Amino acid sequence: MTPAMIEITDLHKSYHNGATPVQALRGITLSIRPSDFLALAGPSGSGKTTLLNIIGCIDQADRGELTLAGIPIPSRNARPESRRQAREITRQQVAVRRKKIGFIFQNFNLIPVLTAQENVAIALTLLNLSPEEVFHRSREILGEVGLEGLENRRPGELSGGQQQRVAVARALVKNPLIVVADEPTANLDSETGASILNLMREIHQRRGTTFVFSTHDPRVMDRASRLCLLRDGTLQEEQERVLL
Amino acid sequence: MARNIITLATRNILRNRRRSVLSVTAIALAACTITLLFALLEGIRADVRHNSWNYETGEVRLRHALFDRYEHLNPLHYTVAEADLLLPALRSLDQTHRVSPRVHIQGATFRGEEMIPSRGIGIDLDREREDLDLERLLLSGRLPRPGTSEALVGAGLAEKLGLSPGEPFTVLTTTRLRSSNAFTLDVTGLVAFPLGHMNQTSYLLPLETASRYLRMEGGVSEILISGTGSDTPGLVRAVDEVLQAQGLDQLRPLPWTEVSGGYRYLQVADIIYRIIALCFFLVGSSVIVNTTMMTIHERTREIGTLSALGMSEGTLVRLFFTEASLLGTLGSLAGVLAGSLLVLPAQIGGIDFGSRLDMVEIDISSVIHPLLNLQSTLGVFCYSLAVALAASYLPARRAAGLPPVEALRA
Repeated sequence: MTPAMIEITDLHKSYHNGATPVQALRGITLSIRPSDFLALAGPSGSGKTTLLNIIGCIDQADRGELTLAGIPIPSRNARPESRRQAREITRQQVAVRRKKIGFIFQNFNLIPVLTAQENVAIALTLLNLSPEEVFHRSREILGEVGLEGLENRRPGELSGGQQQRVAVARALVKNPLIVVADEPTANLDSETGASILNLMREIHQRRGTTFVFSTHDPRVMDRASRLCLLRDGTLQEEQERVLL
Repeated sequence: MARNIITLATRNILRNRRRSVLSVTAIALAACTITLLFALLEGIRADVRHNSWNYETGEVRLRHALFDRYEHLNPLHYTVAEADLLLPALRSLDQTHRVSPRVHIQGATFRGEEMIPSRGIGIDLDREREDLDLERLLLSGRLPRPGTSEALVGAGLAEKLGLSPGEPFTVLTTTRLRSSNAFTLDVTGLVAFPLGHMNQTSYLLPLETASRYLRMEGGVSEILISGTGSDTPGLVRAVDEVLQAQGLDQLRPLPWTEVSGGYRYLQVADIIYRIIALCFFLVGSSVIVNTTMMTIHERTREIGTLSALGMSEGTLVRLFFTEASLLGTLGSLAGVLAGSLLVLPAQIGGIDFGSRLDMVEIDISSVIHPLLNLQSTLGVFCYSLAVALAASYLPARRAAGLPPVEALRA
């Protein structure tokens, strides 16, 4: 049996919405395989984004266990013994994000003052690669996502679909093990959304990168190899699908 | 990485040009004002030193030890006796550049019924005419001839007495022997002393004439000694050794820093100017804190994105710091440059405080020439840069410390 890329056991997370406590995740247990093109689906407030944030190491679970590519990611209840240890945990999470995870956001989240190529390059710069390699690889990936010739345009000069392609390129350029995408097609028209999804699937199949994305669009759910339905912070249903 | 940070910082600065201009202007204004203030202070410092050394204290002032204690009683009998023997010994010292014996006459002059206090200064005209640049200070007439009963009168005093060159005036005074004496001097010229209070009260006369009228018997009121200025304590020690060798224990050499009112004023002014500088920088830094906070607030989501991509907290702080240092460098440079450009004409022409300083008994000239000083100008530049960085540090640190998920939600 293939070892899991992401192992989640009894994950809990709550936060405050103003004065109201919200129980976002209530004991999620899930095992995500390297070959998964997994969609987290469910209505608003079901915990999709919270789960994605925790998987992406930009948020911390209150309790439960999370292992990413064999690396245990501590929950909030695993309180560090010292400030030094807390700093070490933060440093480890930053390193995991930098090397192993690629992010695609609903609003693209590109840096507006940088060109498409520079937006992609920033992910590689953080890995301390040589400027030549950064340039070469960022150009190459932009070609791969169909943005050849648009490398020097700034986000404001690109369409929504093109911006999301830059975001996909930025997420993939460092060859991450996992790509986390929060509603990647929500801000796009259906045609562009479909093309972005096709691109993600194509890359998943070509590179074998694990994709975990959230959606509430049934057309997007249909394209996933695995579908996890969340409701009120619990995993309601899991479906295995065959990618066509 | 550093190159990318600089690129990103530069683009961010250009992103909101008006705000960047506001930050740069705030720093530039503070730096410009402080450059002007410090140049003025430097000018006053040089002026006070020049005047003090020339007219009041020298670099080292040599007097009878008891003269200072009873100065308010005009104790002329506490003289530097037998100055003729002491002066050559002092002049032969390697450290001395100028040795100026002085005889002071505290007296009264009259215009009709009105008594006008005056102060005569007997100087060695041959030796001091160049050092005091008397030809340049002369408004009309000529310099007195040594040994004669002639005087060079301050323009203010001449006006009070209604005197012009060629006219006589009489001084009533007390001699060294505590007897009264009155003598008449001919005005040979009017002079514009750089010190306002000297203009209003003083006249110069030949040393030997003053000595004769006060019955000084070879003594002088004081000797002003100046060296290069680089080692005042060393000069005091050297003078002291001469005094001990001649057995003149009753004489006491004092550095100008102890006896000059102007120097003490400068010490206080220096503190006041630094406090003013701090206030200006505080105002400037509040603008920077404000603009940095606005910038950070607007870019919180970007901070979250960069953090999600794996940018460390330290690198994020460095990014904002780079922006602040670029703005700070630009503002400081512009401010110091503008300040220097404003100082230059004033340095040449001087700032005329006119009669406002006439009655101030501090050795400050009526016309002050601000002076640009490389050290203090560099200091202003570095200080304003440091303030710009310090002002942006806390907001940057706070923003970088935000959990990425919170920053992304903004």
